[in-house]
Amino acid sequence: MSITDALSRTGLRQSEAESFSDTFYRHYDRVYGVLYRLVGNRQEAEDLSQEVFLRLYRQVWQPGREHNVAAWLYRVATNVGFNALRARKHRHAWEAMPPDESLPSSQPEPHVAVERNVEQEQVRAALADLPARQATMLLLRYAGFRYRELAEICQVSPASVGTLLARAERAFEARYRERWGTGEAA
Amino acid sequence: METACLDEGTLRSAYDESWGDGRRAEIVAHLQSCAACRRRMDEMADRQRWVESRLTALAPAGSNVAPLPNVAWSHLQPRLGKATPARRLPLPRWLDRHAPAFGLGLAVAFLALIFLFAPARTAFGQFLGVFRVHKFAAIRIDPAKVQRLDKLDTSGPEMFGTLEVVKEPAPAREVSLAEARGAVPFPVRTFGWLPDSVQGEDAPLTVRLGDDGEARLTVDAAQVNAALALLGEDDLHVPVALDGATVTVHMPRTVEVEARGAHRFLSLMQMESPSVKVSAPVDPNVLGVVALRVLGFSPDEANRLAAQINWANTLVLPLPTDAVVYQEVEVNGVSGLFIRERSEKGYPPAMLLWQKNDVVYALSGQYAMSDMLAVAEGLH
Repeated sequence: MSITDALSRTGLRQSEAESFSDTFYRHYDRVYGVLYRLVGNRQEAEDLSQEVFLRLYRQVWQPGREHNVAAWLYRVATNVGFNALRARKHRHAWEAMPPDESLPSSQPEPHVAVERNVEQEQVRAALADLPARQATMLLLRYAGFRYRELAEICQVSPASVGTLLARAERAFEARYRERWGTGEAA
Repeated sequence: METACLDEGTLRSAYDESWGDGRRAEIVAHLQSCAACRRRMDEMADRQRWVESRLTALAPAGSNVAPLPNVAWSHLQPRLGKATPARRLPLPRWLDRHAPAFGLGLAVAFLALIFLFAPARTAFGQFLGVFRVHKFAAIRIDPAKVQRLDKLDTSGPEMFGTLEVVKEPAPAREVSLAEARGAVPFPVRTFGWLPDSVQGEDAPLTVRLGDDGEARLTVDAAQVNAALALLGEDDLHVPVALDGATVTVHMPRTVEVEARGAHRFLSLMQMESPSVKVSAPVDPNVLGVVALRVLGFSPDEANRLAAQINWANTLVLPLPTDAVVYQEVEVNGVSGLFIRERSEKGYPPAMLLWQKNDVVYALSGQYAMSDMLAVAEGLH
């Protein structure tokens, strides 16, 4: 186990041993994953991921300083992603969302891919309607983040995560059904 | 022994097998004996699966999975060369740990600024007045009480309405002292005396020019009142007149002068006072009490404290008692505030704040109060 790995097991803390590239390599996949979930487009998710790491470098990064970089990264990534999503909403793109051109050509039925895309956009629209903390909680929880990580990213006590998550799920379901009906698969 | 029914948060955490404080056995035992809680748990599980099926569908798959990190890094690396790495002030280490409290603190400071506008100033049309910082005041807040803010879905200024960044400041850039002096309307000051542990007077200093920015908050009274009710402050309400009002905060350009040694540094941030414009008449005392109650003060404490603060020119900084110590001091003939992280190790980060001739100064470093005051006195 490397020193960095050992330190990373102690939490989300940046250690003195970690360089900026170490941080990038350690978190890039997850940051991209969060952003892809929000924008649903590979190129846009890549561009936004770069933007998030550039902001980290410009605004926060200090070699040799203990700082909760990971919590900052995912907080900013979700903000950046939701901003992109809301900007798209303002362009009234929900109704006319084109299929993702980067979908693999091996999709068996094009209309299936289109339906899936529409469904995903409906989920994103309902998420974007929620208060920021609820939306972030849901997005990250279902991207595999643990309770302790959610607490650090959303800046709440770990004991509050269950309550906030339950409330967020209820709000999401209500918003989704309000917008799109039962929400059962077509 | 029969135990009380489980609350929603405990049920949800238990469903994810995230057991807090070794309560697993107690929770499992209760669920085995309580049909009502089992039914609630089942309903919650149904909803969880419904939500999960939708949220997990958003995950990247196939050709949309993340590119290899080394490819992404090769794209980012050239851009890093053009960017200046951050040089943050030392205080945010405790801000990180107390972000919810301080986030709200900022909101309170923000709200406090609203207090300042007397109706007599309405002569100039749309806005009732412009607030500028003349003085800083600290209030002690109890971190345990502030924890209840976790119940809210948002914290910080967004608790009060919709926050819009009208002008996002560009990242700060390194400039010469002469360039900085030409870019701001106030006389830029620099160090005349420095402790030995940072570079001496003749060594080059780093000067950074920060861009100006502007944000606008549109107050949503219903949202604020709902948040107050959620906090159990049912008797509190923000004035109806404030609903839909806009609060526009303009942060002017900043100049930071930094001296760095092998292990420690000193940074002097200077700027004109931020200005705040409000588009509705409000009662400062009512809002002051609301803000203090949100921060966990009892009705009596809030009323007493609000009456002691001169809201007309004071920027109130709520400080968590477990994280920092502070002291009011005199700096260059004016009143200032010294804040230091509460730590027994090494040199805790500290900040000295004061305002003189409409310029706000923040001196940061890991030094004792006497050194910080000496540096401040030596500025020229």
